Amino acid sequence: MNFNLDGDFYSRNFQQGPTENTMILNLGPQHPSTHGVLRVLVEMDGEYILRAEPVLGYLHRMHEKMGESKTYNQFIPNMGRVDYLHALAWNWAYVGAVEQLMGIEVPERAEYVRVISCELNRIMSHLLWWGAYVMDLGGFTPILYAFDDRERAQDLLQRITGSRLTYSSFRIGGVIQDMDDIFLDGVKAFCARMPERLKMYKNLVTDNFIFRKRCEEIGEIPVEMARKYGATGPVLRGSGVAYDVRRAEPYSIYDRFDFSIPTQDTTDAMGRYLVRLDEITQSLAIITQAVDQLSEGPIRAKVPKVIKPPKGETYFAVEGARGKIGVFLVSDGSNVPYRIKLRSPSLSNLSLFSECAKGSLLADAISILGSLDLVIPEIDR
Amino acid sequence: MKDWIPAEWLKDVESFDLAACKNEATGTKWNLFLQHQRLRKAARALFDAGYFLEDITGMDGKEGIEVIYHFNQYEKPSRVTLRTLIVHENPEIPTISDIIPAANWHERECYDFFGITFTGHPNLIPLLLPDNFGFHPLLKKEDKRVSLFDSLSNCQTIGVKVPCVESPENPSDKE
Amino acid sequence: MIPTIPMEMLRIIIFTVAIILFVSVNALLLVWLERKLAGHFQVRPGPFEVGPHGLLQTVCDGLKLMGKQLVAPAGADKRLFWAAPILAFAPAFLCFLPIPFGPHLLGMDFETGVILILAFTSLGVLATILAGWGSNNKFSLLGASRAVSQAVAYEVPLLITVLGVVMYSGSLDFTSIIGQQGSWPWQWNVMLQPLGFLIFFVCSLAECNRAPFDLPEAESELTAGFHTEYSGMGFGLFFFAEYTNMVITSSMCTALFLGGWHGPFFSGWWWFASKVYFLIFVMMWMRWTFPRVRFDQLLNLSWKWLIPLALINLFYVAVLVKL
Repeated sequence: MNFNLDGDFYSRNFQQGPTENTMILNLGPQHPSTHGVLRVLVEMDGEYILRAEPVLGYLHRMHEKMGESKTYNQFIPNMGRVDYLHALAWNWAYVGAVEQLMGIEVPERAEYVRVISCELNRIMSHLLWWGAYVMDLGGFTPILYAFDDRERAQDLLQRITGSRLTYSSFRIGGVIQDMDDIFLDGVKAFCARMPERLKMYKNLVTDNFIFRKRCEEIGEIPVEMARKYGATGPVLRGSGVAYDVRRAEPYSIYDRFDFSIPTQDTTDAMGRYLVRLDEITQSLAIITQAVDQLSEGPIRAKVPKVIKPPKGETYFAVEGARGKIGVFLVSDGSNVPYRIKLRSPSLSNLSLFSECAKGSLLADAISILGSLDLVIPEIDR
Repeated sequence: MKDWIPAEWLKDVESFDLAACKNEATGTKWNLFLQHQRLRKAARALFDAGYFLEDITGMDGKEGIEVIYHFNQYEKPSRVTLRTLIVHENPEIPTISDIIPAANWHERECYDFFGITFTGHPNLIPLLLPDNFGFHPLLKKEDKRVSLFDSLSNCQTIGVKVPCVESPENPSDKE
Repeated sequence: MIPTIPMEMLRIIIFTVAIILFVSVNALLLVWLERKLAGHFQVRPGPFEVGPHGLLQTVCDGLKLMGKQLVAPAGADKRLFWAAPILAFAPAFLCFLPIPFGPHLLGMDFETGVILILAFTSLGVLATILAGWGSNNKFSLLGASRAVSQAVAYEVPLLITVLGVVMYSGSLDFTSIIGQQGSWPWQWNVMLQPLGFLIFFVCSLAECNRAPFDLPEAESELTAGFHTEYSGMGFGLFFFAEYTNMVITSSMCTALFLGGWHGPFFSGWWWFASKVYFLIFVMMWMRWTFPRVRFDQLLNLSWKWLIPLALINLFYVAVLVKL
């Protein structure tokens, strides 16, 4: 049999010439803790990482090109598949960009539907991350507790979006379906239940001695490093910068809610962990307020059947579970976009991994990768 | 010219063209049109002023390929966009990845999608596409290209008109 | 004419056959138990479809493993590769010989049974090294190198705590060690040497490569560590060996610290078994509760904490004996 021991293009590029006393290890694209098809090439001295380089593109689907050949409405389902964990944020980023370009006013009730469903989706994303991260560190059980809660939220969202994972329920000018009383009661019950569960999570995992030793002072990302790599979201807030698109560039009705932006000054993996758990609490607060403020009204604005935005360009950003999601949209006046650029937060967050993991142990690198909360389809788009 | 420079950090970057945009319609506050040799200076000035790089992208049009750099900052969020134009025949532009490490991957992505060569880039290999892909998917066919001026309909040009830099050696043709 | 077989020989043969049966059934049962327990810890029922409460699930899995093709990776050292799982499993049998499950229920009455077990259990790490080296896989190699340093680090405190018990009872024979402990819990060695018991238990977790010390096979870092490349029964034997080792270390712990077959009211093998299975339950409980420690933390724990503490324990026992 013939085996190409030189490896493929990327490993040849990574390993130029023979190595001395070091080992090149190929983590992925199939590896239990890369959550999908991320591939990381690492050069190791014993268990210490000298050099790391992520290799991307195993889940690349060229959404940007697809966008240029589909009409504005046809492209919405694609958005549910970019980041499957916080699909509604991508929905919102795209729909919001089109609305901004066309100057469409979204009805108030639709905005509330969007806020409630998007925040529920954010909680679901953080819950899954929480379970998966503890699993990366070797704790198998918490992910099933997280799924228990996540399942309840999914049942709720299924009611108003019609799907359970790859949501595409936002429409240009509104949403697909209104909330009914069963949904609202379910949301209230969910919001009442979660604080208890979060307390249990804290007792179960956060205060665990072994867990703390695996997170604290590991993968420190100083603010300057985060800025150099354009990190956003919990990764940035874990470094102590209170930057949240919901506050920084307020969109929709987020200025009506009273919520804080959790930050941690420790800059380590534990900081990012605590920020995400605090964000669940803040999202619950937003949902509770939104349910209270709710008023009757239409859920779709009057928009033309064929969406033809005027010539121009726009950049619309929303806060996803992983950071700043941006859609740069250029219209040439026809019924298909001229150019769509998707700014994915995971890509920027992952790009700092090489620098962050340098000199750390292999096990710490796994901890760092997990704490960045990567969703591979979003990186590869 | 200097009296309309919007911020302190730009005073080192001379000779560029500026467009102010309706923020609520475009999401962008300032558009800076730069020549290639000013790009690195502008990026450094923005980075030193506390901005971070959101993304780098390209847009294929009649006049050439426009390379677009989106910057933003944490404290006083406002998007500043740097724009340069390169010709289809010679898609080359200096890298800013040594100034802002975040640009490294975004430039590799642009190299994938548009075939733009970022001169001085330390590791310009495909990021998302396979290494032997052969073509650049986001380049448009000749007849499909529209004018890049169209995209700026919501912006008001301050100073001079948008330059069309045919050759980077000749900075005087920005009229 | 029937040749006369020495009584002792017959006893060993019968006992070996019994051990093979016991080990196989026990491994199947423990795998089922582990999955069932994991299920209940994780708010789900666990295996439920095959047999009552999924009891036959592991039998099916065992059959599946046996039916699988044995694949050795290209570039592997075939002899070492296949020697490893056998070497992992074989010593586990022998370890059962000197363990007294009941007053008269033991394979062979060694005077140095404790040493025999310690010698054979440390063979297990050899299998891990061979598996790691023979697979020609970098993950396996990393797992094997971890296994070596882990085994070296944890055998030292383990031996020192065993030494404490041996010093106290003045014998290396399990039967007499158990004989010196009474039927009530306060007459057991664990009350005299609680620190020793704890150190022994922690070390036995590490020796069995059980979570939170399962670094040689750390799934999230090394995919499956030293047995990444094994399929079918090759993997199955490692799996069997792991569960058998759990029984052995728990049995040792029971014999040395928990009074063996002694128990309130009715002494007998049932007390021994229930203590062993309780310890195994605790091991499983820990596996499904705790995250994994990091490698340097694991070694620090041994060299900086367990060994000094074990020495203090030894000193304490010496004083106790002298008094």
